[in-house]
Amino acid sequence: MKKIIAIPLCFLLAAVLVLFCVSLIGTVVISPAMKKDGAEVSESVNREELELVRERIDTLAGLYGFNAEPVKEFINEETLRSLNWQVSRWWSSVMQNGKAGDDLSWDTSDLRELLYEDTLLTADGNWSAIENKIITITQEVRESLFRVVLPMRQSLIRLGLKKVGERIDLSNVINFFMGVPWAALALCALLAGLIALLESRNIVKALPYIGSALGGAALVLAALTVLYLSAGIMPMIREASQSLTIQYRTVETRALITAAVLAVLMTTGCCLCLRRRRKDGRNV
Amino acid sequence: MSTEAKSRGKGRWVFPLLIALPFLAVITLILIRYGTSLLNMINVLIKTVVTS
Repeated sequence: MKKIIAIPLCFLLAAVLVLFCVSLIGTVVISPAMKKDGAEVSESVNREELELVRERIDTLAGLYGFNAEPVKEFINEETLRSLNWQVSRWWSSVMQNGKAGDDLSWDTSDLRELLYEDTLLTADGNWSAIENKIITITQEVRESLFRVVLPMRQSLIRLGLKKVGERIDLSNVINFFMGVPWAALALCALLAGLIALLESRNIVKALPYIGSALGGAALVLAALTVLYLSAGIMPMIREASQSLTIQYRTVETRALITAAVLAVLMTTGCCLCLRRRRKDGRNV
Repeated sequence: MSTEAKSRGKGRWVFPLLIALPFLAVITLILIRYGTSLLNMINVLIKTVVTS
């Protein structure tokens, strides 16, 4: 009779453990954006984005016939850092208020001044054409910068968030989601306690059930990770945008490390529980 | 420990797999039924939202 109740509880414990793992990974991914001042962007991301911007400037220089080197020197890591900080604030606004943040801004007056000093651009002396060209180049450089740091259609996201906001309070949903892992963990403790209670309040007798649930959850988590990796999400993103690939890689790494740590912890827990019971020499 | 007890002890290591099997079966069924359309949807979503 005890077994008939303990086995479903064991399955339920495994299911709640999987829910805990999945929600914890989700929480780890979105938690940097939950900071009021936005997440810190790593220096390696800044550098890779800068390389992309510089490649784009080279292309623009070939297209419009200006000297690329001064522009490439003008746009440095500090520029990217400042823009990435704005992007972090933008994401924070999405996560905390359920609304898209302010549009990105970047003062182009210094770049325009720099282009006026470019002898390659000003050689023909037709100032009206030169001015038009400089305005176009400045806009193109600005757009390239924005596309690298935030490779999303901001207007589309704003519209989507507005539509979603009419139906549900997104910030409440996100806040609720942030609490799910801890609620699931509490439920796990409760279920483990119930199994122990069933086994005449003897935790040693309950260990095989708890160990099996831990091992089962670790296997499911491993299967989910393998499925995600074989789904080919990363190639899809790589095909869509190089800069998003750079940003997504950092998020993906964080999620995969969390999944690996959780899987190792649960497997260790499973081994300890099952070994302990075996050493004990008694069977359920 | 008797041989029988030893073999029953070793059998415990199959329990986690038995617990995981129903979950894996459900995941496989969902994948077979919705896998392709789900991936297509993700692909379309990425292409819509992302600027190249």
